[in-house]
Amino acid sequence: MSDQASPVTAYVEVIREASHATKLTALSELACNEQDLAGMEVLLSAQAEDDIKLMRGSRDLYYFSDKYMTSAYALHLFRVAEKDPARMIADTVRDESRIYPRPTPIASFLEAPFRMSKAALDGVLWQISQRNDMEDIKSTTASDGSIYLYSNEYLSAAHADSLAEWEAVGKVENP
Amino acid sequence: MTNTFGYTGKILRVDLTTGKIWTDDTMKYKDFIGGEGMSMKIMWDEVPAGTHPFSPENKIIFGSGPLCGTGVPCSGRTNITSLLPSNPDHSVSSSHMGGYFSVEMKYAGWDLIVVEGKSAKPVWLRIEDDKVWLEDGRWVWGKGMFDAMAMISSQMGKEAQIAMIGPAGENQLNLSVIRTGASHSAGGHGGVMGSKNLKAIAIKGTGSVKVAARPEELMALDKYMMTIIGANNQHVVPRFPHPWAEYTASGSRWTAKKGLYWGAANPPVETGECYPEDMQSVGLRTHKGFQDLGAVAEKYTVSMGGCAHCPIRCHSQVRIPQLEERYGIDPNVSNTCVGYSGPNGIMFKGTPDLPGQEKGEQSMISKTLGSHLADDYGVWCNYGQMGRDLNWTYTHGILKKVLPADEYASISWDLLEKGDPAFLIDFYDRVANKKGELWHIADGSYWIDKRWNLGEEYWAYDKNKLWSKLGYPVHHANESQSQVGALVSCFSNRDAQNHSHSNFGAAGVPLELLKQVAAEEFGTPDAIDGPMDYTPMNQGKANFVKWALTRTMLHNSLTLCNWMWPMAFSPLKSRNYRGDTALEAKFYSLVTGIPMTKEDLDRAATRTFTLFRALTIRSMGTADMRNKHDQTTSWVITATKDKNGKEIPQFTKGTDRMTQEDMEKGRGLVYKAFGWDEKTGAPTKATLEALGMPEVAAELAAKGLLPA
Repeated sequence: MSDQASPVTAYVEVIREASHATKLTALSELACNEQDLAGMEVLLSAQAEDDIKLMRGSRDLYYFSDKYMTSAYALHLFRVAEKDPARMIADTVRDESRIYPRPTPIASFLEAPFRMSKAALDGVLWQISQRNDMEDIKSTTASDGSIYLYSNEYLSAAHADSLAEWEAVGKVENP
Repeated sequence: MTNTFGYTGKILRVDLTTGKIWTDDTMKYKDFIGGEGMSMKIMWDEVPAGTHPFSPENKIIFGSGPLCGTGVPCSGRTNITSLLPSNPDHSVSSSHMGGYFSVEMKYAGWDLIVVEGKSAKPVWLRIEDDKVWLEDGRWVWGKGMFDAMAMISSQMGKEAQIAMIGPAGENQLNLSVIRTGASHSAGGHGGVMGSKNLKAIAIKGTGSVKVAARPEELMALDKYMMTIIGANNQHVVPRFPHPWAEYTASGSRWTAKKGLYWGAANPPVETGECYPEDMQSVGLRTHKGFQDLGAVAEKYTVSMGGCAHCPIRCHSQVRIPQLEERYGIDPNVSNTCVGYSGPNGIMFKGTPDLPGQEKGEQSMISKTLGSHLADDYGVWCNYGQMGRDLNWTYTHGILKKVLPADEYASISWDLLEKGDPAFLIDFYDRVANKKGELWHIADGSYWIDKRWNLGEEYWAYDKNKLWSKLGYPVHHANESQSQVGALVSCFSNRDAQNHSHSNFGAAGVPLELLKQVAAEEFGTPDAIDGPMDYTPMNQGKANFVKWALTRTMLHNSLTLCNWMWPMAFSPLKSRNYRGDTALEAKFYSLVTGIPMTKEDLDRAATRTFTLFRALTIRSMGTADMRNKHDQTTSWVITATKDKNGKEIPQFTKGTDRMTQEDMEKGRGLVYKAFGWDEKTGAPTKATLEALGMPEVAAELAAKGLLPA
C-alpha cells in the first residue's frame, strides 16, 4: 500500500473542507481525470465515505459532506450554483408549499445563501410570471405589503392568502 | 421545620396593618408544588369570596418554586397571585415576572412571601436573609420606578433584588404592574401593593438552595437539556438557512445569522450560526432588538439580557441616543415583546419615519420611549389592549363625549395624529397620575365599558381582539392551534398567558413532524391542525388543552418559564426533533429527592388547576362556568371573509374562526378530561375528593356551588 493518499481520498478531503466552509464542490473544480471520476463513482456507490453526497445538475456535478451541512442547505447552494434563479425560486417555493406547508416571503431570497439583489429579484419574479413551466407559482400580498409566493399544487389561494397574512401581520400582532 | 431539598421550607408572612412578621411552614402546602399552586391554596384558605382587591383583607403572594435558584435552566420566574382588580368579579389570578427576584427569595430562605393588611403610611419591606423589617417608604412614594429603585439600591447595595410599583400602582390603577430589575414586569397586581401602601419588597440573600442529588447528576441533566433547548419560545428551527439546519421558519425567534450583530456592543458581537449543541452561543440565538424593534435596531443593540439561570437571553438592551436628545430621558432601554409593542399600541395612528430617518426608526423610538414610560410609571397595557381601547374610544368619538370639554381640548391629539411619540409622555402622565377622566382607560375593558357604555359593537369588533366579556384580550387563542388555543383562553380570568400550546405549534418543524409528536403526547395526530386549516373538535385536541392548562400551572408552580417550557421539541435531527416532556419531573426528582413521574406532576397540576377553577366559581357565585365564564365574544364564532369579500366557512382552508356548536362540544370534552361536570364545567364532589381537596368540596357544597 502506498503511503500517499489516492487522488480520490484527497478529493474527499477537499469536499469536506469545502463543506466545512459552507461550499459545494463542483466536479469541474476537482480537475478529475476519467480514472478519478470512476473512483469517485465507486466510492459513492459503495458508501465507503458515507458522508459524501452527490447532486447532479445541468451544469455540473456537485459534492458535499453531510457532516458539515444538511441536504436541505446543500440544495439551496445547488440551486444557486445552477445559475437559473427563476428555477431556484420556483423549486424552493414548491418545496416550502409542500413540506411545511407555507407560502415563501420573497424577501427570503435577499438573504444568504441566495443573496439576490432587489433589482435582480424583481426581474426574476417577472420571468417566473411568464414561464409556462412555472404556472403553478402564484403570489399573494399581505396587508403590510409583504409579498409571498406559493405553488397552487400544494396550497389553495384562500389558504395561501391567510397564511401570508398570518406570517406577515398576525404573528407580529400576537407575539 | 421539615428538612427539605429544593424548598427552603419557610414562608414569610407580613401583616402591614399590625406590623407583625412571622414564618409559616412551606411543606404543609407541598401537594400544590410551589409558586402559583401554593398561592392558590393560601388564597382559598384565607381570602373569602367578596373581598375587594384593594381591601386590607386581600393578600398578595410572591411565589418561587422548588426548582428556582437551583440552576435548572429557565427557572428565574416569580409568580404573583392575588385578587385581580381588572376582573369583573375580582377573581383570583396570577401575574409573572422574570429577572432575579425569586432566586434572591430562595437565597434569603423564603419560598413564598405573603403580604396582607394595610400600612398606615407608605413602607417598603426589607429582607436580608431571615432579618425582615418594614422601612419608611415616604421618601420613595410618588417616585418613578427607575429613581426609586436606585434609591433603595443605594440603601441595600446593588446586589439587592427589588419588586416595586410605580405611581400607577400607588394610585391603585387596575392596569398597573409590579416590576423587578430594569425590565421584568408582572401586569395586573400593582394596585394591590399600592392599596397596602407597600412601595417595594427588597431582598438580599446570602444562602443557597439545598439540592438532593449529587451536583454531577444535576449538571448531567442540565447538559442533556442543552440538546433540547431551542431559542426564545422554544423555537427549535432557525429563521434563516444555516448549514446545520434542515428547516427554517420565517417567524422563528432563532434569529441568529452571520452578519447580524449586537451592533452597539464594543466590539460588536456577531450572532452567527449558533450550532444547536454549542453552549457558548446559546445566548446569541435570539436577537430581540432585531425581532421586536426591527432591522434598524441592530446598530443600537448593546446586548441581550434575561433572567436568572436562563441561557436564552430574550430582553434586548439597547442604547437609543434619540431618547436623550429629544426627550431628555435615559437612552438605555431594556425590554421584550409586548413590553415594547404594548405601549407603542397607544400610537395607533402609526409612527411614520420623518425625513432623514432610517426605515423604522420612528417606530423604534416610539417603542423604546413607551417602554421607558410604562416601566417608570408602572402602567400595564393589558397585553396590548389599552392601545386598542384608546383607538376605539377615540375613533368612535367616545372620548370626546365622556371627557370634559376642557380636558379633551388639553390633550395633544395632533401629536397622535401625526405619529409623534411625544404624545406618549403626556398620555402616561395623565393615566398614571389619575388626571381628569382619561385615566379610566386603565380600568380595563370590562370596567371601561361599564363607565363609558361602549356597547356590543365594541366587543364584537374582531380587530379589538377582546376574547371574553370578562375584559381580557386574545393571548394565543384561536389563531394558535385552533380549538386548543381557543379553549385554553376560555379558562382564564385574564389574558391566558399560556405558551405550552403556542410554543408547541410554533416550534418551526413541518406539520408532519408536529403531528407525529402530537400523536405521541395526545393520542392522535389530529390533536393539531396546520395554521388556517382547521378541523372540527376532537378528543386529541381536548387532551392537548388539558396538557397546556396543567403544564402552564405546573411551570408557574415549579417555577419554570412557560415562555420556554415545556420542552416538546429539540433542534436536533439526531433526536428526530423530539424534546422531552418528562424533563420537569426529572429535574423535580433530582432537586427535591421526591421521586415524581411526569404523570405524578401532571396530576398535581390538575389538582391546582381544579382549585383555581373552584376559586373562580366561589368569586363568581355560580357553578355555571360554561355559560357565565367560559364563553367568547361573538367575533370568534363568526365567519370571516376573504380578500374579495367572500365568506370563508369555518373549517375550510383560509380561516381560523370557530363555531359555537363546535366550541360547546370542545368545552364538554375538556370538562370531562378534568373530571368536571360536563354540563356546567364545575368540578364535582367526587373529583375534588379524589384530588385530595374534600375541604374545597365541602365549602362549595355549603355555598350551593357544586354541580348536581
